[in-house]
Amino acid sequence: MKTTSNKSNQLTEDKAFNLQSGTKHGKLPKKKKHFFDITGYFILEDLLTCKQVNNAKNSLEKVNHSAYSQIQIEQLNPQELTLFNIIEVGGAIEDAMARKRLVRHIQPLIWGTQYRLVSSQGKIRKPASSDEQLSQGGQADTRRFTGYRCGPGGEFRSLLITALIALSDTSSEDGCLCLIPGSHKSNLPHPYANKHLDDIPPLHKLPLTAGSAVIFTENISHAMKSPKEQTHHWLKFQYGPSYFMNFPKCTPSQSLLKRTANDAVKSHLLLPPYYHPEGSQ
Amino acid sequence: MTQEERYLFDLNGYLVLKNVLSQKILGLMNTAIDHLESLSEQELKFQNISRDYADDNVYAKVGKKTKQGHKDYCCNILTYGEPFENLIDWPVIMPYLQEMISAPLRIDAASFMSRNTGGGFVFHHGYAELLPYSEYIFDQGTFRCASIKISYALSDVGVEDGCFAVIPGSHKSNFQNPLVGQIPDPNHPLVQPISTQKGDAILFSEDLSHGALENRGGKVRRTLFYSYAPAFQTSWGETTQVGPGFETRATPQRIELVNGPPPFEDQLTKL
Repeated sequence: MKTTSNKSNQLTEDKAFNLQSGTKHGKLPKKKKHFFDITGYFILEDLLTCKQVNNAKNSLEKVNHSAYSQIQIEQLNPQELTLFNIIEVGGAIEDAMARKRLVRHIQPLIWGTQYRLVSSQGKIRKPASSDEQLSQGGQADTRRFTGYRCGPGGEFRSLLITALIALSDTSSEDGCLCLIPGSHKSNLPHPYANKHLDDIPPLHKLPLTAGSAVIFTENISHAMKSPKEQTHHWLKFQYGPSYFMNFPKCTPSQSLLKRTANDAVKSHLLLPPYYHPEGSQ
Repeated sequence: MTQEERYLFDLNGYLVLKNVLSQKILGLMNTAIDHLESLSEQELKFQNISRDYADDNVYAKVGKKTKQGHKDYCCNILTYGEPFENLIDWPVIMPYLQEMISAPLRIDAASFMSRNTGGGFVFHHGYAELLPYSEYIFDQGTFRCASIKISYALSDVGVEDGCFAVIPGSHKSNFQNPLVGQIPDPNHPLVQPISTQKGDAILFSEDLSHGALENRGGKVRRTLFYSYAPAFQTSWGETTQVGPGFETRATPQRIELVNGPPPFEDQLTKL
């Protein structure tokens, strides 16, 4: 038996199985952790260079006009195409999911080193007259997998964390992401069902320049404004704890796993779902 | 769940249900276990069953060998087929699971465990560990547990026989469990030993600090553990692997519990 009741050299299950309990992985400064806990989001300016933005945007259009067996395209509403499993296209998009700066901000929000990519999507949004509906968020959000938790000392245990990377410039009136800061901790449902986004007082608009990103807990009340004149392109990556299943239509192909096998960050993100090492409880 | 059951589950983190398995199915299960224990490791492999002895398990205090020569062990069980796969959607249990998890759910583990004289299992878990996959949540009148386990007793287990033990209320504790890593002491004021008779079931939140007393009797403790979680969570290794012909003989509900309903469905509708 490896356990002992002697307090000084007690082998805890955390040590034995690296349960990531209070291990304080990640290097986010306290200020940033505090900001995220209060508001539920971060903005990362200039995450991608102009060249990377153009490459990613071209890839989205290319996929939209050709057949990629591993990428499914769906028109979930008349003005928007969603390209599921978009990382399969490789290049700038595959690289974007694992950008060091992005992962450095996302990893501490989930669960120690046990996190993975759950979905990747490209979005092509055409100009439209109506905006998205505000998602519920907070305690009243029925989507269980969006749960937000932060324990003592800034130990985050967020479930789904979303990174939206703008590939087009957006403004407060033109296609930006909007959210209600702090709504991930709301105990009550928001009273804004069927309201126009401009008529929701606590809503914050987050205009982004192409190449910048917003990272947020899926548990925050959020919606996107429609583009007004030009088509907008986005990348959407969602990260969760290691035991989260893949999002439908987002299972990585063998060829993707093979080509990323030697990249430590990418291969970690694309690990199949798992709990702990064998033998843990 | 009755109002009292809801109250007690929230208060303590577990419930005991008496006589959920009939004598008939208990007989079938114990006969099947007897049969499996008569097989060699090699013969078990043909049934896709792997007997994992507790020697290397840091949670376990290993008991004496049984008459059949087995040390304490656990093994996957669903590949054996009936009667074990019948428990996947056991009618008495399902309404509890649905109410405790409150989401489309899947079975994420199933195993058999044998503990002989001298064997025990150390305390593990508790809310303060912040293990996301075991989180106990009660929100706006609804249980939303991330993991519910069921311990089915296949033999009578008293305190002397190394019964299951918990720290009631620890599924809500904000402090690390000072007894973690220790075999539960039935005389400690925090510890609640839970004696059961064969056929009883203990349903508990995985966030509850739990373990097993040292078996000081002369009987082997036989237990089945079945575990359930929301559909967006994966399963624990191969423990939910089923046997040949499962899809043809199982009910649709049973198949769905094993394969898992589509995860993230309400996310798709949001898009």
